[in-house]
Amino acid sequence: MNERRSHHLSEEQLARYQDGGLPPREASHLEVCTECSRLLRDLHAATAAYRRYLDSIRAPALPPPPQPWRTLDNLIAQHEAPVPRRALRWWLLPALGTVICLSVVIGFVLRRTALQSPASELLARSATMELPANRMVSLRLHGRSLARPAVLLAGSADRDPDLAHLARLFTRARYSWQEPLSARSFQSWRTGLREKRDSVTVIHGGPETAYRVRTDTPGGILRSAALTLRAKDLHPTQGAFQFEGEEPLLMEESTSALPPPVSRQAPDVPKMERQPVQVETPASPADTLHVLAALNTIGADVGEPIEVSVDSGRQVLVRAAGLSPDRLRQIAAVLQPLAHVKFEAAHATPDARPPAPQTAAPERSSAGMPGALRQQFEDRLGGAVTLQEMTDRVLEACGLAVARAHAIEVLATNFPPQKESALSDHDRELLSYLHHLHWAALRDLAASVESDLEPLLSRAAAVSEPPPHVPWQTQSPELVAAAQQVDNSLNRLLAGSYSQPVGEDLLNSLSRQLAHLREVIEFQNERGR
Amino acid sequence: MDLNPEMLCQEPIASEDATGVTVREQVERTYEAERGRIYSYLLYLGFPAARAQELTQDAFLKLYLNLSAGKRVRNPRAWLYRVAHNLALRSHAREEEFDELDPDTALADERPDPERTLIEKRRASTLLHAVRQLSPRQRNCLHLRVQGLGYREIAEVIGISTSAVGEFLRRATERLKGALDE
Repeated sequence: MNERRSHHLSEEQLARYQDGGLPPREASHLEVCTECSRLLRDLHAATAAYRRYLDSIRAPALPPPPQPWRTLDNLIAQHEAPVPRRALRWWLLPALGTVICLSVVIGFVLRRTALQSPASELLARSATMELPANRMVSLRLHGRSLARPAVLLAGSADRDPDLAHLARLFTRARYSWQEPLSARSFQSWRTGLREKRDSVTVIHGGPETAYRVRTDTPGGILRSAALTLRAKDLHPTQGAFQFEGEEPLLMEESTSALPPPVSRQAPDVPKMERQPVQVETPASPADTLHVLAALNTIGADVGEPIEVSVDSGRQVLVRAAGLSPDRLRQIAAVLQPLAHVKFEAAHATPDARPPAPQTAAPERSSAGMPGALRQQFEDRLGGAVTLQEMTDRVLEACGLAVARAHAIEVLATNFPPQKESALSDHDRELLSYLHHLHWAALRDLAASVESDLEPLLSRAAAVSEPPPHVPWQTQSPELVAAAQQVDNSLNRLLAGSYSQPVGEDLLNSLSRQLAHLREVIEFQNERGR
Repeated sequence: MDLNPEMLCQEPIASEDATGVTVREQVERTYEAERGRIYSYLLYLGFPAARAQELTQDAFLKLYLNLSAGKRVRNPRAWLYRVAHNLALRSHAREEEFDELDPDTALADERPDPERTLIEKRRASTLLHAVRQLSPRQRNCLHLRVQGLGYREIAEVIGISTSAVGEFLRRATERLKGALDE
């Protein structure tokens, strides 16, 4: 309770007043106290706003009871009815055994089918491609550009200290350092993850269309890896790796060593187009925009396992996996009026459902924090309970912020400046609206995180000069990286194990990272106007 | 706030009241009046629709069985929310999980309405973002408060002190106000 208000009515008394249960003597205080009257008005406004949220936003999304309500008499009668006992028939045992065997086989087959995600398919197809032996890759790290062969010979050692450091990181992450820019290595790492979230993005901005397969995981030292595959032959051209506590690592095939496009395709690999549909008019970027806008109306464009891509330039392919039948129906309903859209859905199964970033609740506890730092945090925040609440709140908000940054990145990759300028006025406005929506949410979430962490951070870092003018699309990878960096640091600081000096370093880094995120968000807004 | 005072000042249910209304009839009335809200609450706690309906019916049956056995329930409504909360706790094991109200399913509308204006969307978006600023506990307290529960009842349902309820609601109020004023 706020000490400043000790001579005023408590929140509980104000609530009792709202409920009509406050004695007149105490209620009369409200007539003379402007502060209590203001608090009462705020309470009214807050409950009214939340009621509006429930009625206008949440209620339409809630499913009605699937069955007619049973009467109380019926419930009581069933409860009181004796459980019938049946005599065991001799043929029941073998029949039951057969049913179980069939169920296991069918379940196994269905599970295999359901688990075949677009990321798996792309990686599987890419892994069958032959890669030239003379490939070179360049790496950008700490402002340096390094080059190395795409495939290291067994036993070769990295003499450069940065490369040697990277080799150790890759080895610890169980990701092949011998051949990091390959679908086989990516697939091998990805298959070994206990928890993961995949996304596939179609990139139109470069000289040629490409797919970017990205996998995020909450465990292990390698938190995120992305592989860019050239669309026409699924040749891996770029890689992006985010190791815990490290700067993002970018890797790309050296242009001088680019091999000629490989046009052949392995005949035994299933194609993405399971049900080819002949469409006379190919899908336009506006069609993709309308799909994203439709998904936005039901909040399905952020943090849900839904991928939007262009199917060979003919249709906008929307793929959803792991969602409830009700949610799939909602998505189908908003997509139904749109042209050039193909919706593919896989129903949720207990094993196939991927963890959504917002609802995944890893064990978040500050138990691994050094005692002195924990005490310092508790003193500044007002106790262990407040620290735990702040931890939950901040990690939740930061996870949502990363999801919003990804949503902006999806817009950026689908609508680079040249495509944006080719849109109609109406569609440009729509794109601007969607961008603003995600941006505003991201800004609010970042501000909420900063506000919560304010008592812990020693000083606010200075805002640097804005970078040279770049379109918001160009800056979106930096936005994602900045949000991801804050998220990683927060997870380590509030839910990791480390020493006191490392904790103090983390706090200092976090101040800088938060300031950087704030800057990038602001610049993103200026560019998006 | 349009609270229903009758719900907040409920008399204890006895096996048969002075007017001769039986326990069965009293529970029947409560069942008719409250089952929708308990069902909604279980949905908010993350249960699928079929399971939420089943648990709602179970909760009312449990209420009837308790009262029939001569046990006294001071406030059936708060008692039912408490049962729902306990079911969620047992089901999800960790409070943080069930407290997630899954805000990303918000803004859902199964019937796409082309006439929904940009202004309405922005208002809804602002409100949604404001609610997302709340912590799970703040949101849960506010949710139960809007359902008409008093501080003590909310404290009993969630299993925290009344002063903690007050603090959560105060913070929720400040956050909502701040977010909506922007």
